[in-house]
Amino acid sequence: MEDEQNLYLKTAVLAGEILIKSNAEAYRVEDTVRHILNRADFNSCNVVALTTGLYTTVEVNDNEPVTMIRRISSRSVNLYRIARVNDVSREIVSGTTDIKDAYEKLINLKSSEYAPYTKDIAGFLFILMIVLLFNGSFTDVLMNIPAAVTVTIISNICSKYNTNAFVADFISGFLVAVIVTAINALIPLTIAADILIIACIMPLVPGTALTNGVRDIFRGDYTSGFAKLLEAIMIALFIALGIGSGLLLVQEVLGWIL
Amino acid sequence: MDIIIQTLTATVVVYLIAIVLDAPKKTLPYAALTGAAGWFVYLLAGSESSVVFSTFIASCVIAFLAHVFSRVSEAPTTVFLISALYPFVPGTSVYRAVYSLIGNDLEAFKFYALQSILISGAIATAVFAIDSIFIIHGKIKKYHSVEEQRANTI
Repeated sequence: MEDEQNLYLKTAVLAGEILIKSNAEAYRVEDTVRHILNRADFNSCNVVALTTGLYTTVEVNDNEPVTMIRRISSRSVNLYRIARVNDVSREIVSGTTDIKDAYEKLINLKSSEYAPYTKDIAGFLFILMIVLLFNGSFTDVLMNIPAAVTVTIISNICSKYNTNAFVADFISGFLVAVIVTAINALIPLTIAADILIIACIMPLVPGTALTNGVRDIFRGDYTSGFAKLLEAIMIALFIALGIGSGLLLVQEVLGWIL
Repeated sequence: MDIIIQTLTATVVVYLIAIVLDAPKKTLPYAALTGAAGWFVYLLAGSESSVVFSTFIASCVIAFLAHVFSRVSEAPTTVFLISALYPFVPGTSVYRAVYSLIGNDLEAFKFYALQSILISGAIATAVFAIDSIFIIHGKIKKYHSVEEQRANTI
């Protein structure tokens, strides 16, 4: 295999890996890898993108097959990386960037355009604004600050130590339920406790997994589609478990005290 | 008046969630606009129909705008779609299902569990329908351009 072909293969696989890690749809991953590989003169190329791995096989001119497999074990939504990989692959296909530069660009791809605290503040404000969107009052917004801060801190810690996503969902759901019901019981104001809890779990709910999973299934990518749907169901279950146990605990404790 | 305030709130909400999901800076205004349009339609349709139906209509509008803006700003459709659909994800129904399960109210549990499945289904079907329209449109355009080329070479 020539050096340049090798570089094309490496770039294509890297692009695919970044896309799967950023939770892109399966067809987008396969299309991107195939478009990049088509620029090099391979006899044939086959790409299979699953949610948990990327499989690429090319046949080089002298009929020797080359296979590259990437195992992908953790994924989180990153729209910036999806958009950037999309740009780079367009540049490669249109020929405005040569493959070496493109590979460098992908290797040095930033993980975010924003400072870490910007994202935290945005997540915090998102929870407060969603209270208003779901017809909460301004008192509700103020009363939701403790729970919103908790959710933000937990998601921050969990992404820092790269813990299992389900653990973060369970803990957040549990603490939110405890904090909000405690505030509702202890502070003599009328609070829409359900709206507060719902607002806090909105950043956790598996919107992306759901949307992309169904898009995959409708395009015939059953394996990755069902994997994502299962992920969505699992996340929803763990949030529900967390909230459920939190509510039960507070009920028991309050019944015991009062 | 209420509708306008709610729509403005939805704009801010989608703008914020787009930042949380790392949407590229240049796409933020488009994403917020998509979300605002979706919520506006949701409120308009919501006054006289079920949640599932109004979610479906709103998701159709969002999916359509996502395709339009992805062509305008040269960013993938997903960027707009995922951010703008976030307020519609059935967090409310899931919570109420869990809440009624704990209160041992099985009828309410069944109702809210089914509602959350139906809402996700409505979002999915809407996205699929609009996706298909754009894919078919692309295929028709490609077919005609190939035909034209063939006619020109002859």
